[in-house]
Amino acid sequence: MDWLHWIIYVVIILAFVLTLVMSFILIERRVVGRFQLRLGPNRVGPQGILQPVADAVKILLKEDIIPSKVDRVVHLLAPIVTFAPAVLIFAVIPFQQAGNGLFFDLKSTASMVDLDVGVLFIFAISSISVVGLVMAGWASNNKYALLGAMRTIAQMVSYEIPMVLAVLGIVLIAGSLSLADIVDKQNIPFILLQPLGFFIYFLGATAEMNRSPFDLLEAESEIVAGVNIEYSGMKFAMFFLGEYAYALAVSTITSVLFLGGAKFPWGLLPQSFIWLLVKILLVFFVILWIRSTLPRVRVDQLMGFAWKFLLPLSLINLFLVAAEGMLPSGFTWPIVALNVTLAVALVVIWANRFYRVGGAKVA
Amino acid sequence: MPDNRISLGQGILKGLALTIKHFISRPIITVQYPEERLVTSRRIRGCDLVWDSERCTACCTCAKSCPQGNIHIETKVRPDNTREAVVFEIDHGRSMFCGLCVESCPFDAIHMGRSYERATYNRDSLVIPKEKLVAQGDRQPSGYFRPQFEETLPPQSLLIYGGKSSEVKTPENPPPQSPATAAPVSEKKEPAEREKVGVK
Amino acid sequence: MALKTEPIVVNMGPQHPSTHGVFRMRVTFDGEIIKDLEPVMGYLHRGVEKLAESRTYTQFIPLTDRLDYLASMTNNLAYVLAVEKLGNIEVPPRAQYLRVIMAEMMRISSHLMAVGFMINDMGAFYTPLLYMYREREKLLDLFEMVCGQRLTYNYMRIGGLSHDVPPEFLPALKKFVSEMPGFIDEYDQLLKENEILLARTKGVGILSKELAINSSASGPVLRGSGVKWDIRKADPYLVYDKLNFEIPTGTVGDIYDRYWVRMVEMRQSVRILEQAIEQLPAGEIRTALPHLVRPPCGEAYGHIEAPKGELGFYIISDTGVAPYRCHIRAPSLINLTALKDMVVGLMLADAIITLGSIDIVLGEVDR
Ligand code: SF4
Ligand code: SF4
Repeated sequence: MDWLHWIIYVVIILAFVLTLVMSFILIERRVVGRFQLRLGPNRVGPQGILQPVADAVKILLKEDIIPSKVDRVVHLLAPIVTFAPAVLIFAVIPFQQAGNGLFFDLKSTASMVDLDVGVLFIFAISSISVVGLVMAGWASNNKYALLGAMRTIAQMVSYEIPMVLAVLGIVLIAGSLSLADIVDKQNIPFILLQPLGFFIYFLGATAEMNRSPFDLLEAESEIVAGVNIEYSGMKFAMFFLGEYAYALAVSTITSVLFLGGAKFPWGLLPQSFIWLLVKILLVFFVILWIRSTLPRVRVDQLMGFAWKFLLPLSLINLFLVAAEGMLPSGFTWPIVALNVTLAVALVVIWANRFYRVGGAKVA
Repeated sequence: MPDNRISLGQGILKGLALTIKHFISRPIITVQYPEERLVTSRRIRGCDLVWDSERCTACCTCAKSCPQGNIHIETKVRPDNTREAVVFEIDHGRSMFCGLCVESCPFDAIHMGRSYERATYNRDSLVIPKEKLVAQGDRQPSGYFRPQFEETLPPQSLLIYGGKSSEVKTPENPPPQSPATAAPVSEKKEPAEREKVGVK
Repeated sequence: MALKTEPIVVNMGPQHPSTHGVFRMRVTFDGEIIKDLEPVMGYLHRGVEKLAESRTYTQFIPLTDRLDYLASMTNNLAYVLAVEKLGNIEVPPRAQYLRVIMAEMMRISSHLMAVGFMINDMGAFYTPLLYMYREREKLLDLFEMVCGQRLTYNYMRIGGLSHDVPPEFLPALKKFVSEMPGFIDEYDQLLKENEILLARTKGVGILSKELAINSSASGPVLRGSGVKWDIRKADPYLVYDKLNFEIPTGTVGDIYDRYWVRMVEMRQSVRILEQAIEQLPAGEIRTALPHLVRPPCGEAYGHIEAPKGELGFYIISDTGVAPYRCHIRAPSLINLTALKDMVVGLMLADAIITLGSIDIVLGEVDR
């Protein structure tokens, strides 16, 4: 019985991750194309939907080059170490809650394991991928790759702290580390109760997955794709898939933690995994929107942003959540209003202060 | 060097507003080549040179005016004391399509072509002898320095009028005449159809 | 415990996405801080100056297209002005106005590319660049309408122009001129106040006024450093003295100032275009000249304000059909000489955008 459950979920998760990653690649190219007044890939298959397949076939047929000066074992291991954690994250994602659903009812939560420490698991696993990137950067024996790896370490380590602190706010409200419980508690999406937390988490996550404006790790115009520079063929594909799988993971976690996962807002309609999917796509669209608008920040500004802007704000946020937790229950809507106001005020004040003291400048 | 301007992230928000506006309401501006083709300029200096064997007097002015020296002409005197080009070949691979030869020909015997698709697999096939240099197929003369052709060609499609031909919105232009010497390079799709491809 | 560190030397270029061609920089880094920078040029050297000596005066015009290939019209213009100065050749007024129109259209198009690619170097994923391409494309359509090609125009001739403009040109240009300010507003909305752009460009890559003058910089690079020097005003050629426009200057000389100068210059170019269209006289467009121009013995230096700076052709004639010697003062090359002083002490990412803000074209740097 247990084995059957696990096998079914391994298949479900792999199918979910691979199909969504494939469609993310296409969606990204089409959406960014539309932002830039062009169509994007539309040749292979109707509306270009087979483009990811064509890309995959192409990349599989590419020669697999291992440069002579690389550290072979580490070089070969790095893409796997980067890709695997991104998939592992999905082990704890609740795709649908127990109880009545839109299409079918479930006896228990639809997730591979409903860990009591799900949030902790996610953050522990997702920080492994940085090891893979550093391995790639070091083993490639290339200066650009090394610079990219140096940037990666600094970036990932710094942004994890405000991110985790922001999520702690959610944990405080929900009173549980289990993702299923967190979704259960979201009668109104936590983005309304925790606007500041969402803001910090989202920016931190954007940096964690190396998305513009924090895509310093790849920085094609500066360090020529950074750690990927010596990779080709299937190994490059692993990095590429890993990047998108991580984007998918971030979109999913954001949907689960802040947007109410499989629940329809305010429970107007029965819950279903469809809503989760819609939310994931929505979050990904916002990521693409930001990507197609903003230039990249510089590496020292990136650090300044994490330590001088996000970290203090996330501490304040945590304090506020704790203070609000002492209030008697039943004040949901006043608290939402208060929190939104506070979030806007704090961001504005801090942004201005940050800008004036030259937080974004070289010391 | 922080200045005293209040900065609250409004610049970023403005930028985001602009891009989403483009996303929602601006038309796609790219052209789906090769299904859609724009009409090129009437004066296009395409990657062909078209030669008119009847009009050419083998005076070699074109060869002299070519900066690259890639027009090769050998002449013969006919019994009636006129000249005839025995060999007339142009190395299109070396030509920079500057049009100086067309400009200098006193007898309107060499024209720029209208075609822009001339990829080949080897360089030798770019050296075009006189039999193949004459107007045939899609090798048609353009209106560059040849007003007599220019009038007959369809008006250019301009992005400034949304990629459509310029006659669409400028009534002061003369109505387009049917192309006489030159068949249009290919059919042009209706703009409405282009829009349809553009919207997902 | 102090760790032992050592600087690393990175060869950026000639194959690097942000060196605008085949420019190569040998950069010494300490971490990401630049300690030293040595520009290496010459990967695109084609000997254009020498080629001029074996071409007739007219035959050299298409070769000038290949110098700054993003602003071919102005290259044509500078060259024919030099030859006309050498041969004392009069140019009909209509041709003069059309030359101004072409030069200003070219300036807009070149500045769009310069700004777009600078933002691209900054890491914006092509969006500002593609919005700018849209307007550039409209201009290229017009160039194509006039002279048959979109990149290598070969439009100016000694003593005038090769063709008159077709009748549908002016309505289209008028439409462009009326729309363009709106589009420049859009670019400003996207970029001007963007906090990331401000943080990246303000106070970065400073070229001081003294150094700018001493290194003989010109164009937006010089004006960004606060020197009010524009050949269109300082030594008016064509009909620029009959047109009203202002010269924007920066204050600090940083990347933002250079960007800002370019944006304002585009607005001024639109202004010039409006006036030139209004004043455009009818008449001839080309002085009748013999097929082979043979200027009298002597030398002449013709210079114009090209989009990238002062573009000059220095030509010596020995009454032959070809120049005895032709020297090209290429603004890209000379603006590049101060690069090292601008970037030492900054970071890797700054060096890239400083290079982008100078706006070089390798066809002109290496010639
Ligand atoms: S093409 Fe014209 S210029 Fe050339 S030889 Fe014939 S007539 Fe003379
Ligand atoms: S187009 Fe120019 S380069 Fe080509 S053959 Fe004619 S003159 Fe020579």
